[in-house]
Amino acid sequence: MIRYILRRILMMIPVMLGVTLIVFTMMYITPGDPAQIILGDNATPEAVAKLRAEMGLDDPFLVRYFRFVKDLLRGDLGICYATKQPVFDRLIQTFPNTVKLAAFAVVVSTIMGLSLGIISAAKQYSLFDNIAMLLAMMGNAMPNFWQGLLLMLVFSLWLGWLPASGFSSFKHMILPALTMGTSSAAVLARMTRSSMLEVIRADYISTARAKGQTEFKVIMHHAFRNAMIPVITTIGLQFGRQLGGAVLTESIFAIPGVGKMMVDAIKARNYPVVQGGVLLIALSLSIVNLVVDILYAYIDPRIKSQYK
Amino acid sequence: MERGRLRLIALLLCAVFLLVGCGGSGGETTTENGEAAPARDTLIVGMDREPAGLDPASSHVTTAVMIFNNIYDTLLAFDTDMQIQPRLAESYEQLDDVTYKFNLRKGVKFHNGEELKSSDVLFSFKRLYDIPAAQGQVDMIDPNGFECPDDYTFILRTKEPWSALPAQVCSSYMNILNEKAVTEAGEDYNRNPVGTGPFKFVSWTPGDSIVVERFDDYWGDKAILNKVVFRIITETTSRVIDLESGGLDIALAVGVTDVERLQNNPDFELIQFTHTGIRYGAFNCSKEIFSDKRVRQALNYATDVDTIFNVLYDNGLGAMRADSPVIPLLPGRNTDLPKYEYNPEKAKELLAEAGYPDGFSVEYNYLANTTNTRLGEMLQAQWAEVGVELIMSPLESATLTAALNAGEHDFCTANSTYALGDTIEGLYSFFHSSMHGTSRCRAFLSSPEIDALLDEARVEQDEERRLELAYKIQELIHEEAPWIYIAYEYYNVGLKSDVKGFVPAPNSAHDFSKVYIEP
Repeated sequence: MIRYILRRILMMIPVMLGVTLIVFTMMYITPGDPAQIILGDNATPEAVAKLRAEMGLDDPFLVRYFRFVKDLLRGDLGICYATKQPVFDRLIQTFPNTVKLAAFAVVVSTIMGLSLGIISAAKQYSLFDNIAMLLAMMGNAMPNFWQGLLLMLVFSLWLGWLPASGFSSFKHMILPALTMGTSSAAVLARMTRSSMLEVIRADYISTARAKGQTEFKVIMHHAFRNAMIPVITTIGLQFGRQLGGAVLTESIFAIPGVGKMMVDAIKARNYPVVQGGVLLIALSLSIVNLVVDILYAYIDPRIKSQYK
Repeated sequence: MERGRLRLIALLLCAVFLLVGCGGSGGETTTENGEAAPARDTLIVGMDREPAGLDPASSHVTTAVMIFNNIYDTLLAFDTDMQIQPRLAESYEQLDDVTYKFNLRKGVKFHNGEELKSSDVLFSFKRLYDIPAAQGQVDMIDPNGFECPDDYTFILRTKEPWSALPAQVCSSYMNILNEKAVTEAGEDYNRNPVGTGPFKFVSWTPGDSIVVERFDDYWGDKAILNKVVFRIITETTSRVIDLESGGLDIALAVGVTDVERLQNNPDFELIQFTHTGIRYGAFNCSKEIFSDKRVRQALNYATDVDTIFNVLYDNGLGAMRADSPVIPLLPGRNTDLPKYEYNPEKAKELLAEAGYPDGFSVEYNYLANTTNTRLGEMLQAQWAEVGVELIMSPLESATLTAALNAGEHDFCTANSTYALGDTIEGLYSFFHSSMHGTSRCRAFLSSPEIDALLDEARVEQDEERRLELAYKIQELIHEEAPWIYIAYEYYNVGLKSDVKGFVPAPNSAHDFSKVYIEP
């Protein structure tokens, strides 16, 4: 198991290198001169040329890329063009908010998705099942930015229950977490339902029922645990998706997270911040995937035996 | 029984969600720390952009200018009618063509307790020569022409006679900093500003808010509010919903689509004002086709600006129809210019005279957004009637700016602000041939006559004569027709109806010291 984890961690190195190459290339080919952006439209061409030289922007692509990777290995992600702060510091300031939001969104989606999925499976083709699956389809189809505005309109403007934006208290997290959680809940509900239905039809469930166990025990103890593998994968993937997908939600709800920072940075062509943000999200996704794989082993001993 | 338990679990889960969802009222205002805001002496303002820094020499988005104006003071300042008023300088006098003497107020305190002295003014101006983004602000001022005869007198000299010096001193780049505070903070000064303004800086939570509080030792009338929280909400719709749901007292930069709704709601007030910008279409006069003024005039006649204006600005809800290159706020605006009324026949005649009886093709370089695209499509249809084909060529922002600065475009549209809030300086930056290649010069006009008059007006000290020249220059520009004037766009601010004393500043330097919340 330890060997497997180490191997997976080592495999993350080429993945992250690939990400750096893609991100750096994208920023390299994006039009716009960072020196001009930093100095503004009123700067003299001489000042721009001087800054370009100082920043090494006149060097060839490969020289710049290797310098970027070298700096990265030293933990230097560059300087934010706008605030002149190290990008690393900006990520440290914003990442906890994104993680908090993503985690809360996963909790929301897990509770909603699992409960809807289990009940739908237990009551297949009932009215509840049909309505739940219809809602799940809608939840998955609704774009986040639209859903966010809709929730804001209802819960902030009409009902006045929750604040429309900001991130200073628990109350501020509810609407963004619901916005992000709903679509994940929809995926999770459908996944749980189909996974549960497969298991419910298995012989050992009939055996459990034949033994006179209560329906609750049959569903929760026998069916649910065995239906969990694909569900855990989905929850893990959803967490990764939430980390990356918080971009729009954070902008709508004015949450000072990595996503909002990246949107603002893209608008301002603040390349180091965009690069830093993408790298951080890519790294987080890799780690989340690894954690999900490790979790399998604990849920299903059969998988553990395959990890060598 | 089993079904009952399942139902019970489902009900409990629903209850948890309802409790989470409904816990407490969300309308109350909170500070950045999540504490309940102290009653009604804290104002919460929603702004559309986060400043990059609070060093006046670095960041100049409109929201930064607004915050500077509340933390810092300049020697002179524009009032809300764009008239120059004394601020840290009690008075000033012009000693000769190039020398200005400023008499500083005594007993002015910085937020760190230091007293304002002329050496601080000297420090604040001199450092601008070392900051590339600010160098343009002092290129008319002689770096060796500063003097501090005593602690309360400051003398500066321009490189050559320049009548816009007082307006330049009002620029937010020229805010007065405390030398000790800047030196001590070093690199961190950008996020720890110290000024002499009515509010002092408290905190900045990146991406979330900037907080300032009343400075009790302010030299002028003390601010009424105890605290102002500037929240960063970049999405326009979210900002307005936050205002309407009680999270904000003021929402800046309200979108046109929300104007009517706020106007019709008695709980809110909507203030509309024109700022220092004008939207126009610019022909690149350095291109062969547009070097002939008859072609430019022809396309002015071929353009039905009224229709374009009504479509783009919701029949005037979002802007004022432009009829001169000078914005309504500024003195010397020539309102007697004859209109280029929509007249395709006359346009065809002029094109034939200029040697283009069958028309021609030109490219429209623009930033792909809704306004520019709709504008281009309407121009395309209108100009097609006189045989001119407009090829739409959307570009990404940085590429577009580079192309426009290099003069590679045939035709473009822009929304430009008036440099220094001064009529002559604005016209100079738009139309003087020495400004080709700079960010405000999009028409690349080369008219020796206009250049000469602008040069004369730029050094003219007599205000009346200056305005006469401005009037004449506008006539000539109108005749040359390098622009199609479209609109003076409104800036919309939404306020709760109990917020009083807010007077918008056309240059975005809104003053919050007079604002209060009615009990």
